[in-house]
Amino acid sequence: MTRNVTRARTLYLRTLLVCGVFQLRMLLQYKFYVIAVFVQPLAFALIQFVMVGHRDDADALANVAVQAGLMGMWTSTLFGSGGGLSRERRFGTLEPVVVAPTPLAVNILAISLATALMGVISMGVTLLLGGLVFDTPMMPERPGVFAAALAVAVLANACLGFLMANAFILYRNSLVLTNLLEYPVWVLAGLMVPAAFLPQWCRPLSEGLSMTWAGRALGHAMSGTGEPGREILWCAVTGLVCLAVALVFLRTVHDAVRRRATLNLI
Amino acid sequence: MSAARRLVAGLRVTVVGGALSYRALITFLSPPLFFVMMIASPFFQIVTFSLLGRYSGAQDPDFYVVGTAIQASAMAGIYGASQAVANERAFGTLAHLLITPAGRFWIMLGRLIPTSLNGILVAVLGVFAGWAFLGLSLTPSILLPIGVAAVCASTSCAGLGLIIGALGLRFRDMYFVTNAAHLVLLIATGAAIPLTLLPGWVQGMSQVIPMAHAIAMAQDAVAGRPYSPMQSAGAELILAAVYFGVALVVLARSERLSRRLGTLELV
Repeated sequence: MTRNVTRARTLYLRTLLVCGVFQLRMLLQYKFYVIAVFVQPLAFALIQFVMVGHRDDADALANVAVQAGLMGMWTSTLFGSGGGLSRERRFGTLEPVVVAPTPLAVNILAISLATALMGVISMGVTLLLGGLVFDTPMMPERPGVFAAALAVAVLANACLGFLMANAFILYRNSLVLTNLLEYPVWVLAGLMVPAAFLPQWCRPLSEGLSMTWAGRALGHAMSGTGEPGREILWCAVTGLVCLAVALVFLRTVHDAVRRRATLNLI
Repeated sequence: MSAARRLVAGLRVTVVGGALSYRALITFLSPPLFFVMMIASPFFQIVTFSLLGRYSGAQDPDFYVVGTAIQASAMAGIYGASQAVANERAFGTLAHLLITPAGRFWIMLGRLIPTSLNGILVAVLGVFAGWAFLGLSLTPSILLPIGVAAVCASTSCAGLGLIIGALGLRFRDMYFVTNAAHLVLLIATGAAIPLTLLPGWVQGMSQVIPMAHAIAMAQDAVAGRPYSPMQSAGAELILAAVYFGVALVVLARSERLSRRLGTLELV
């Protein structure tokens, strides 16, 4: 019994990785995502470098590359995961994906993981821009902690993307929400300006986002200051909360659309 | 056919075709998506850059509210025009449209006017949202220059959008170009970054790309600095005329080439 469970888990993990890599390769064929992970983060990093540079605050300037990279990760996750199931529907592969013996959660999570992983490209691009043009550090002071923070940020983002993908099964016009959520999350997560600069009522919303903790952890790992360990932990916790909610939500939504036979109509 | 009758026929194509196309666009987008794209997204963009501007301390927050409101409005012209061709292709009506004897200029003008008007509405709502939520100091005397700036910026952006739309007859994926244009205009027009913080070559470029003159006029008006409406609006409208001229040449050439190569719906 235990052996079967272990084997099933290994198989799910393999499916997650294979599907994730497949989705990643597919997403890189879309010009939209190329813009989202290469061009847009560069443009926003440029704006932030110039604007924050005017403050003459070296610490804030050093964080810009990381923040702009995370902005790219959020855009990629938002549009990639939000539109993931719509894409499957358009390709005519949604039903085969739903009826496959592999749990649907694994397949959707693979899409979200691929979109979040694309954010690593954004991070690389913005760190390179900062180092080459604005003379900010390209290498983190604590490389190991930075790598761990980035890995947790990707996974937490994937969980958030997974939650959004499930929510968008119920809502046909997912494009409405995806277009609406890009700027607010950038702001709330403190990626455009520090969260402390936002009004007081925004703070609880800000603290509930894994992106906020990811930004802080990566910033501290870059500068070698603060307590990134605690922030990585909070990033993981907020990501796991998203995962738990998404799993409950998926079961409800999945049952509902199959019972009503509305999978292809939504 | 006399010139007057040709003009009336052209205007009829513009008005009827434009109204039908705009109705189709709204139906295609659905009211919630239309609201999000036209009102909510530009508003969040205004809030975001206003916060960044306030944080940087480079200029007064009003500078960014007005700049990004006009920038967001003008983008409607670029996206509207470039998507006009892309949507016709997606719905399979592009060949039918181009086989008609109707003048291409009038057809495209019909696609541009509603989206440009939309853009102006976005600017007005953005400025009022800035006044209501972000503390923009709005006096009656600056409403006129802001309105003029929005109209001029939308017109010149529509010209640029028409060039992109015309290229869309030859090349399939113009979304990439439209987005790249959006980002360049965000950076180089002084909407999100004061031009004085940018290198000299970017400042030079801003003189020949849409919006920069109009945005500068609106920002000067809000800040109470002296400005010349004739010079700023005139420069913006001259740019619009140049872009429209180039667009008509590109439109004719793209259509001819796509017909000759038989690639209108294949690319």
